[in-house]
Amino acid sequence: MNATIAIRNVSKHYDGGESWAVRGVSLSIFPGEVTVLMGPSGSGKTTLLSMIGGVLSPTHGEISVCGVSLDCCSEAQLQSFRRSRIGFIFQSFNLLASLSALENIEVALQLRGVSLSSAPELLDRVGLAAKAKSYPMELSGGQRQRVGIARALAGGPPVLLADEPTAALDAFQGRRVMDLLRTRAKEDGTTVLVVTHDPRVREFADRVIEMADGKLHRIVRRVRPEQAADGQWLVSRTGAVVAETASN
Amino acid sequence: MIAIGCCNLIRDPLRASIAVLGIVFSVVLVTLEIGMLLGLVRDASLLIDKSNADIWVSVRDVKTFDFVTPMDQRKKFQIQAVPGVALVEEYNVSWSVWRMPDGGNANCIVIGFDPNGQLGAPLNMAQGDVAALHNQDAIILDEGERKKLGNPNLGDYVEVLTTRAKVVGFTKGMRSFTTTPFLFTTLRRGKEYGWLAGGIGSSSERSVYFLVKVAPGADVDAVRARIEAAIPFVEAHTKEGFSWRTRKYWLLETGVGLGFLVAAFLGLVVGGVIVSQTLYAMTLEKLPEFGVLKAMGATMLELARIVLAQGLLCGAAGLLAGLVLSEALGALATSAGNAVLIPLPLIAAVSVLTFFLASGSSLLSIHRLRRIEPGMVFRT
Repeated sequence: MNATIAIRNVSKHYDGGESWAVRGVSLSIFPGEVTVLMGPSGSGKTTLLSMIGGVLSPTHGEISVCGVSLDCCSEAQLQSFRRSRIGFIFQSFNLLASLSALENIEVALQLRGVSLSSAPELLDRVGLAAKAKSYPMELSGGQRQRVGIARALAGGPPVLLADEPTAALDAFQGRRVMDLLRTRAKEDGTTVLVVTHDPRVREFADRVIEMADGKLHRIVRRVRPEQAADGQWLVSRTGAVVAETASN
Repeated sequence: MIAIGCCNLIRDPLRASIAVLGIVFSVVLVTLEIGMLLGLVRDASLLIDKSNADIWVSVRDVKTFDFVTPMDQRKKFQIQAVPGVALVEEYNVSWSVWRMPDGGNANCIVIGFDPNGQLGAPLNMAQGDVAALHNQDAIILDEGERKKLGNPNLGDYVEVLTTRAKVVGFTKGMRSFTTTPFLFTTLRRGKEYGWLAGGIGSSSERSVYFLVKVAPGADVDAVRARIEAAIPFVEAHTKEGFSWRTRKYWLLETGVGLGFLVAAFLGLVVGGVIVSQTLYAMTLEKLPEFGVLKAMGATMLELARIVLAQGLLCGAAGLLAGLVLSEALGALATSAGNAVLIPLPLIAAVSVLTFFLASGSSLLSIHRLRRIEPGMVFRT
């Protein structure tokens, strides 16, 4: 299967920064896969996410998303790439405060050139059909994040990039949001990459990648229960079967 | 995308109101300043423009209708003899003093003309009749100047210079640039009431202007040139030329016009600063949202449209409110004796200016949007 996201030896050095934010990272992420990127603050998770999303350029290396090689794209091509291929979900939701829940989704649909008629259905998919006319200030944190997810799903982008999607939510809302993302990945084949500090998110992942000092530190993969028999796999506290497959 | 701009304004009524007020301020100031200027310009040459004469003959180098030097009345006959001249009428303008009932004085301008003539400006009568000027001591005033002259009524006897006069009618809107009241009367009485009477030589021998109607088919400019060539020490002006000379004197040579234009320009600048700063503050507050849109793939043009829509909406609301307010204030000023003209071309010009003001005010915000990195959304 071809990787949706292919990263080869990518490094990022910020102007004026003394150290490398990301150093020599190589990674492939496949359609329908939920990948969680974890690590301490400053480990380079968000920088890597930003580069995959085409909002930041790598200093070295190559990134290809959905077959589009980002390192040779112009700003206009990157805009078009983000518009059609990427759905962003943010820690602080970043909904447009002056627009209702429905209108926030319509903006994303409009940007992607998709009929606005699918907006109510998207809102329904995240369980917020009754809140269509509510403004972000009138919604709870969990509801806002679900609107953010509906906005990210608008137009069916093949890749969802989520930055700390559960950080501002309680345990129940956090599970609900992650469940939603996992369902989309498994039902639609959407590739989901989640950056988080939240250990509760691990159980929704197909793969957990731990970063430290700008490098991939460890990749832990969820496997089917029947594959656990050879004794090579580790069992997580939540009961999901995981395996250590690599470390840098 | 434009809907986002509308919603931003609706959801932030305080800032939207400040921006609209900035536009209202500019629109009212520009409209009223220019409207007053137009009113003054109209008044400056009102009696010239309304006259039926093709040519006005005066002494040489006269600067304006109001500041006059008399000349020998016999020139009328010389003008009459110039080929192409069909009709000549005498027309006198003279400064004088109106004696107030309380013993005070007020300046006035005495216009002496032939009530049976065809060339002087027709009086726009509000009360009374021009024919009443044939009665003894009769004068006609403008109703808008009554207050300045001690509120005389129809039929009242008053004193002009040292002579008795009787008010037999009131005109409407026949007022001078200098705001000095016009006093209309016959040629003979005009010489009695005005300083002309005290001028050099006998009053009966002196005149200020000769109004000329050219013969049908005759070229006005050619006749004008023939009058100047035939009669020494006079200047013949076409009606349009004399009107422009009078306006030019008041507007340009006295600096009055410049003063109004500077005030109007300052209104534009102040309004522009208010609107631009308000829109900029709104944009700064929404920077993360613009960053999100940019991250989602919105182009700079699409983001600019949002800010531009905000500016233009404020502009449209401010223009509408400003024009209504200007019309109301203009009517109030006119009723108080200061002519304010707000013709359609002025409204169109102010609308175009407002469009540029509103869109120009958005430029600072649009410039700021250019510097947004979409990556900022992951740092907030």
